[in-house]
Amino acid sequence: MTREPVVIEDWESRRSRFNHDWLKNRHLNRLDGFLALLASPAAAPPDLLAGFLQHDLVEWEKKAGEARDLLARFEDEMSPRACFSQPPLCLLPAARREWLAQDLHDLWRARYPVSDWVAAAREALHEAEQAYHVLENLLGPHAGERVKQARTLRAEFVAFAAACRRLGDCVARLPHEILIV
Amino acid sequence: MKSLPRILIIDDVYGRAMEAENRDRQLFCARLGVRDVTGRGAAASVENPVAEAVLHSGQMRTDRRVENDLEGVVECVRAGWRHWPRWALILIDMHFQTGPLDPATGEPQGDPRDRDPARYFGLQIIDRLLQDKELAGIPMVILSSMERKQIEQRFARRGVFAFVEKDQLNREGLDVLLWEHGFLEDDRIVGHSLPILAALRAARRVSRIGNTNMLLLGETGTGKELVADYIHRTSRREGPLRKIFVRANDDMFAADLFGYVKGAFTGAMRDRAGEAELAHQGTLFFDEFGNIPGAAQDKLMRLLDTGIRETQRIGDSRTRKLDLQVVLATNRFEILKDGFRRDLLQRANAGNPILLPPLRQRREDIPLLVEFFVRRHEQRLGAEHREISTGAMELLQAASWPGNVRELENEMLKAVSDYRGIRYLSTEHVDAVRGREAVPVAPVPAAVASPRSPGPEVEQHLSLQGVMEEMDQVEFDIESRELWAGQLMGCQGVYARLMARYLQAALAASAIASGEPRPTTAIRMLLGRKTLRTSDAASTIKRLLSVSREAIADLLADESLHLGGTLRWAENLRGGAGRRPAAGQPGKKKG
Repeated sequence: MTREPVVIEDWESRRSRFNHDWLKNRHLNRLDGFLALLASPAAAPPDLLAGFLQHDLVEWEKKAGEARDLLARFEDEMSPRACFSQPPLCLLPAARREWLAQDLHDLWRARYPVSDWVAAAREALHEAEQAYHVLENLLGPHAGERVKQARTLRAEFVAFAAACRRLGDCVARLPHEILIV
Repeated sequence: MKSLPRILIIDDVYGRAMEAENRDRQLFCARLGVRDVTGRGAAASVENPVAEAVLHSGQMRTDRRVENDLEGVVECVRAGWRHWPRWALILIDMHFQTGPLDPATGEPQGDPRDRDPARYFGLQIIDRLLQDKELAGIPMVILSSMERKQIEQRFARRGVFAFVEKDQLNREGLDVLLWEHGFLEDDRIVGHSLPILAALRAARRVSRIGNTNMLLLGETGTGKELVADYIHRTSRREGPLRKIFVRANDDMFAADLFGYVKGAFTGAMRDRAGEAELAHQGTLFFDEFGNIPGAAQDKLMRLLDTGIRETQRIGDSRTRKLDLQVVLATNRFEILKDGFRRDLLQRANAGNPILLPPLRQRREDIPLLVEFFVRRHEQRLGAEHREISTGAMELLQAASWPGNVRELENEMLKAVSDYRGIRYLSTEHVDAVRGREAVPVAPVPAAVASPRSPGPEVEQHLSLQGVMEEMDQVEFDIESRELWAGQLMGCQGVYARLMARYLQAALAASAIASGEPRPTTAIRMLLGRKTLRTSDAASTIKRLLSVSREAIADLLADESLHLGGTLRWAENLRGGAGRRPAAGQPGKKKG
């Protein structure tokens, strides 16, 4: 008998909004485009560079929080334990429901390298945050100077983009459905 | 001079209109190294762009909502496919966000259905383009950051060449995609019609394989040598391109190809390497491959066998291993059917020849070619620079050009050399082509016409009589015969078996009433006639069963089907005094 995968729409759609809609479609595209412009300074319009630094790059600060929250909630929302908050399993007597849910959660953690997945994603997030802070410190707060400064920070931008890409890969690797044990 | 390839990118985010600043789009173009040529809102210039790009959102936006616009996409694709510059490649996103606009961001809030892999708008676009006969040949690549696994089977279709992760694509990646799948011009081969671009793409793809053989099939004057040169250039092989022109009854062919040692034959005064050896690590081009003498075919087998690839000089006991790409060209399409060793053809990769289109299939290129040849000969002959009149161009475009590009070049040479001092090329200067106008031909659909292209649609609901008459009237012109080379026999076989099966069914039906098969009754039923002369029935049977006896040999031999006996009955019938076969005893009873 095959078991239908259970999808918790909320976590999955939040992941999709973060990883697909923002990180891959916007953030990495912008970063890579910015790096391409840095590589060919003659073709790089200063307005475009400034717009990226002032509006796009700083979005990271808000989105990093979303990523942290996403990873923090993964175990709760994508463990089979989550099925016990929905019918029909939520109709079980509370006493039985509690131990069964906990057992299933433990089995899930034992069967799949859940901790490793999340740890890898957290590490990638941490690296990206560090790379971002390095960049921000070097760019400085003054809008006028940031473009000039950015032209000298290619290596730092490359490191930030690489860390963000790793984060995207790690988040994409997390299961898209509740894995049944 | 070749122009930049033009690509179409269908993506809801990057394709959004440029009224407001769209940094996502500008940075996307910078990242891919493409010049945005969409409408008026052309973006920042890009150094050494790899392509021009038109970006299309695939959506309609009102004050409050964003909806997908499939027909709008199709029209955009069609508009850029019919005329030059046409799409070299289309990149299609999968997930398109729709729904009410978020007042804060001005972007669609999204609909849960947008994220359903079964309903991805990108897949709907692909399905729709593949259904459209005119557009089905456009090379498509999926560009998405969505999960690939969920749609792997849906997009595994002819014409969809790759799935590229959106955040992984860059300038180099796009260049590779264009090279492998795009319709690209060449700066040495004049023309950008779809048939020539399709042939160049086929040539590029084979040239990447390396140590392989390929067969170029094309009428005289279609540029086989130029394409061989293209294959060599695009293969990036280190060695040289060596050409060998095979003449009919050429006694020296083997010596030229394989080389010889001193004293191997009268006149062999010293050791000499053959063309095959000289082409080591490069490309060996055989022009007029169909002329290779029978005696040399045996020895050629070892050279064409990519697993062996060795050559032996005449008179030498040593063999030499070679690393070669071999291009064989011929205008003799009939070699695919007979007159050539089948195993040699297999080694020549004759099953997948590269078809070079005749000029009549690429009329779109005639103005370019005329311009090119006129300028070339003006310069060569020191003639005046001339304007080419519209009338002259129309006349040249309408001609049939059996000698193809070579004939066109000769005509232009004559027009320039005879009138060196004029500055206007009129219809009178090319009057020689008048009267050579081809019968108007329908444009080649999607121009990636291949031997697999469907033939003309047969009117539905034809009676058997109608079908037979239609089939009798079909006359493949020489061009089609060549394009379908090697496959006509197969088509004929299929037709023969179909007709035999019809007759078999009718014979079985005729036996229901009388207890035994009656040929005249069977044919009467097949033709839907109330009455039928026995002799007419017999001649119909002969027509039905004589299309290809080889193809239905097994059916004729099976006596239980009554087909063999029925055919013998029909063939033995004289002057209408027919006999009909009884079951198991054909030709014994009067019909």
